[in-house]
Amino acid sequence: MVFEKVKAIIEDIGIEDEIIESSRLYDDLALDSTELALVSTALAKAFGIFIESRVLKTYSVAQVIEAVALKA
Amino acid sequence: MKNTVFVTGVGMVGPCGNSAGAFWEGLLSGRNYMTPLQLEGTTGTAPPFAGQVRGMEPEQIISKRLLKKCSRFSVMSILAAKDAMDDAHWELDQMSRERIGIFVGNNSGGWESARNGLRVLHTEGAPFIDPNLASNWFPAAAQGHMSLAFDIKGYSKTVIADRSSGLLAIAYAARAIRNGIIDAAIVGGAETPLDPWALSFYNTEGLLNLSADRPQTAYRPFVEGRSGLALAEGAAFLCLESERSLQKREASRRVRASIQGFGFTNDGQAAAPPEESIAQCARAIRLAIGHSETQPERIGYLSLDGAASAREDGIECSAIQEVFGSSTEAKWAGCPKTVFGNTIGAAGAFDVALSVLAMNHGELPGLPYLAESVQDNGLNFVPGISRRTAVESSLILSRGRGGVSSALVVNAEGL
Repeated sequence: MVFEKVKAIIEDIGIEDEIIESSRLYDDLALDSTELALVSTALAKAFGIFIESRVLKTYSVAQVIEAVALKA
Repeated sequence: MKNTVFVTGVGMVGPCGNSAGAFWEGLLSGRNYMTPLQLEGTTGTAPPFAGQVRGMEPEQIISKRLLKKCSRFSVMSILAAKDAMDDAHWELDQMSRERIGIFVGNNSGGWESARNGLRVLHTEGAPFIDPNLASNWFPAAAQGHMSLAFDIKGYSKTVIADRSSGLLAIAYAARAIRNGIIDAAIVGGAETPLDPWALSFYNTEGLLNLSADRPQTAYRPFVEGRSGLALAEGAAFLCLESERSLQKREASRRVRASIQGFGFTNDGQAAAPPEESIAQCARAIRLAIGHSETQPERIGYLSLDGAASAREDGIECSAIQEVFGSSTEAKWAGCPKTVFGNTIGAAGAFDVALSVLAMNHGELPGLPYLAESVQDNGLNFVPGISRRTAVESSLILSRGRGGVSSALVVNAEGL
């Protein structure tokens, strides 16, 4: 459920690569600084958590899901 | 001619059509492209009619990822630029992207993005503003997005000078090519002024026609019945290149026209007496002719700015008569934008593009409203929808807020 939402947020940017839990936002999916900020804003809207884009740059999708779970 | 700069492609997205071919065909169809403008919260401050762009298909050209970052004027810029590059048969992989520039005339950037950002700021809070706003609200955004779309890396500039922006962008690009800084450039202008936030600013100049009762009366410069200008959105771009670039890609048959001389002047004061504005406008025209290898007699078509105020129209017409004297009568004058609206920062680019197409087709767009109006100047405007006439050289004139005057001579000749 959380994975599907996070995946949808990343896909909405226009990322066409396959997104799996181990995908890293910067290293694998190549999100640029604006796109990382977009994900940060979308996560805040969807889950009420705020992860700075410079932190997101180091995260995988699994780490984002974990951060959401810790906040829940 | 040494260091000649050639026009090899024309592209457009605008009210008359979403390619140069469709636009030209639409312009000469005799249809008026002003449609009712319905925007929330603009009662009494927005023109009732405007030239609006419909049916764009950006997904065909722009990746979803880039499209997400772009304001509307960037989207139009990319589509019009692609249209121009296809017309010129540019194969970017066969050209040096570091030797191609991007020059854009624009006045108000992506203000629909700015307005939305302000709304979010005051309703949801700063953390929820779209981060893309940082790179899509300002005039140079289109240049940046075009660079991303086409991976073009050469010397580039964005010009902001009200209704002269587009003409200046073309002139500065031609100068950069002549000086050898770049070999080729995609040049023109884009504007999306049909937004409540943008309109509140455009309205302060007092040039808009807020009282038109039908599309045909929305924009009628150079006649007594004038009542201000109608706005339009759109983008027009040209491919410019040096002779070296043409030879390198063996494309001499692609030449549509050549960019000649250019003049740019400023009144130096906000509301100069008309005689001083006329003198500066005339100086811009003389500079353009003086820097051309074109004799004034060869100029057969005058493409005018057409602000549709008695003062502004009068300055243009008087300046032309001051420069050309009695030979003015031998030249055709036109203002094609009266059919689809004034695109402000892109207006000069549309005017140059349409002048090139007019010379190529041997057909000059006219002023359809002339027959039912009283002209109050001595210029020889093309009546009706169009007139078939061969013209070898055109002078395009753009003006702007604060007394800006710019003029460009374009020749139909090839190599």
